[in-house]
Amino acid sequence: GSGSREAVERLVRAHPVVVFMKGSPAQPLCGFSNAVVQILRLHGVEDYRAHDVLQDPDLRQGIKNYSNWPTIPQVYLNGEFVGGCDILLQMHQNGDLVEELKKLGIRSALLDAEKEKDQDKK
Amino acid sequence: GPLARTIRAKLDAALQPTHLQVLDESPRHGGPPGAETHFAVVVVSGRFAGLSPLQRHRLVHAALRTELAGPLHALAIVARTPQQGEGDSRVPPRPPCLGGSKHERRRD
Repeated sequence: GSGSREAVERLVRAHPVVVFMKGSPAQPLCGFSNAVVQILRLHGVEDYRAHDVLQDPDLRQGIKNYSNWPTIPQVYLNGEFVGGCDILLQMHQNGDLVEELKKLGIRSALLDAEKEKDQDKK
Repeated sequence: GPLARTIRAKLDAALQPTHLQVLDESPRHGGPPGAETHFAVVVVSGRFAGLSPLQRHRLVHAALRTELAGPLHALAIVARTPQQGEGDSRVPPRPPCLGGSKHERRRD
């Protein structure tokens, strides 16, 4: 089924950035899922895989079993579970997210925003 | 409520926190007062020393495994060591609820 370990493994490895959430990036159905979408958007990450667990109860349980993490949303970078909304927010605030994205070959939009700020100061 | 007391008791036992706040945030997620489905916890404990945020959250989850498999739908966690101080242990502003629970397809 869609919640088996093999099925979930395929999903988390399909793309450098994979999110399991409630609703979709265009229409999140949960405040915590929306927070993940907004944080990724701030960093200019618009190309990622998002899976709506509300559409698939087997996947919803399967992803929790896979990561041994009891709640949604769940964020995976390079196939590795990173955490939920609280952890992503922490990573965003302390600069870790910019670094992790860099490792994936993704340049955070916030780096460009900072460059612009520096140029304004000249 | 009863779930809040259970959460407090289990976190006290598992983590011996120097500071612990248990907040029922269910009303912010469309539930009636006292629904006890969405909680936020602020835990200050020496047990977190040397652990990444992910590891700290997993410790909290482990203590509340039964509840998370049952009535507890969402759990926001602030996990700090006493060295990090209680001063900034505020729960970050909660994202507004978007009614997700109403869209669940339950397999009963």
